[in-house]
Amino acid sequence: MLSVKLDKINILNKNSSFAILHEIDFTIPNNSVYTILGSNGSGKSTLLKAIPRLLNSNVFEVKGNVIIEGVDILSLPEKKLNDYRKSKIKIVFQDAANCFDPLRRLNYYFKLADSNNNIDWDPILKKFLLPDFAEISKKYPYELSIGQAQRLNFALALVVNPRILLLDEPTSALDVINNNLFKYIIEDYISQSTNSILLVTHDISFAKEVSSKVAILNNSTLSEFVDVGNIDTLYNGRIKDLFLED
Amino acid sequence: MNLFAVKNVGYYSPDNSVEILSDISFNVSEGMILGIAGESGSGKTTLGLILSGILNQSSGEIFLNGLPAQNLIKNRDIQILLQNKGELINPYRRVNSILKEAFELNGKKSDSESEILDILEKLELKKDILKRKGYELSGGEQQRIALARIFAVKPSILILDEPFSAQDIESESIIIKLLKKLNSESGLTIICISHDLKILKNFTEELIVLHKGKIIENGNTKTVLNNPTHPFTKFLVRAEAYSLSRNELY
Repeated sequence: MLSVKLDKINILNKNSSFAILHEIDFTIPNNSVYTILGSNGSGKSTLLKAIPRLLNSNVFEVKGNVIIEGVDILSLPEKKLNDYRKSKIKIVFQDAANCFDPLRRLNYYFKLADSNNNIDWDPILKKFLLPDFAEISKKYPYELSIGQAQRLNFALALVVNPRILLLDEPTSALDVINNNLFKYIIEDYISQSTNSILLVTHDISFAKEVSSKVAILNNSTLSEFVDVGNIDTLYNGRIKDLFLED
Repeated sequence: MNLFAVKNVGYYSPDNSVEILSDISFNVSEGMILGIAGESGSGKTTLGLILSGILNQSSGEIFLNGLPAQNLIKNRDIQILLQNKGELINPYRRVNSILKEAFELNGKKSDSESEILDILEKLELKKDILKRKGYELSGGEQQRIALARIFAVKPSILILDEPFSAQDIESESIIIKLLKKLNSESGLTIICISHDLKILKNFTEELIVLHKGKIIENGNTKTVLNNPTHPFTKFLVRAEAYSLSRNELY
């Protein structure tokens, strides 16, 4: 199968029957980075979490289909779903520093990602500008900076070579040097495999650098995806004004 | 008159093993908007925590209005908006109760409701947000509620640690406009810590660039960023434009 397809996704809040997202419909082809822009609270993160079914089912109702390699993720039984989460759909959360259990050494996460113990971590960690395995695996999460935590999350997600990588505001806690690094890492990942990335961000400069196509989420609906060169049309030509450009 | 005078301030990690800040000196005059730039780990946040009195410097002195500053943490005129790590506001309390507490403690009880509505309007937040609990807010909304709470205290010096990192560009420009207005109308002094050079360029008048705990460049923001002299400032400016090569990163 060639693509990752979201088919008429509707997300409702069960308590208020309030539609958070309405009829989200798009297909991400291979080797592409699709980016969803949108303001705070527009539902970007909610959409991303709906894909691997991470939304609390007592609160949210998700309708529609998420098709990956011909399989509908939203109707998979729990056990199968976990296999997909381990290998084919990976998410890097926005709040990197709080993603780890504060009471476990990081070695726990390396083992989870590499149950057969056959990954040589050092070159991977080096690519992400992280300390070598012997050092970092002994650390507790609080000993990492936010930037390091974010890079480690990214590394742990990429190492299993997921069919689709979901990135939730990967640059929001990072400095511009890390952003340059992430740009190269995303470029390499996309060019070296048939995989795809779905990125949500409000960082327009970053979106311009890494995306193949971009769309904007506004009032519960998603615009058409346009080529990244036409990003200005999504903001009705106001981008310069909003962007504080001289 | 210098509001803040920072003289040769240094800071060591609690176990004395790492020097996080060394020999930091600068002045902040009243009504100034000062930016502090630098990469992650350069000591920006530590400096902000020292200026707000949350941390005490290991060496050097800080003067406030010409007098040695003591117990800065108890000085209500200085407020800091901490970096958002999802811990800015209580996740289990409603926004209304969070703001009501702050405004009632710092003003007339009878005025609190109108003051809250006023600040929400200024921050362009909808009234509905009052009914929501902390955990129901997005990162950017949490940060704006924390900022609204700070305004209850009516500080004269506001320290902002990465205030825009969780904000989309629309909220970013709303907040910048509001802060600039407070600065020009009521002389609010602002110290803004950020790694985002674009924001610093637009928002601040003076700039300090930190690198490995030291000030490597300071002066008028536009001059520093348009004509950087230190190699690291040059590097930062190029990073902002996404023009670093792979070799420079590794």
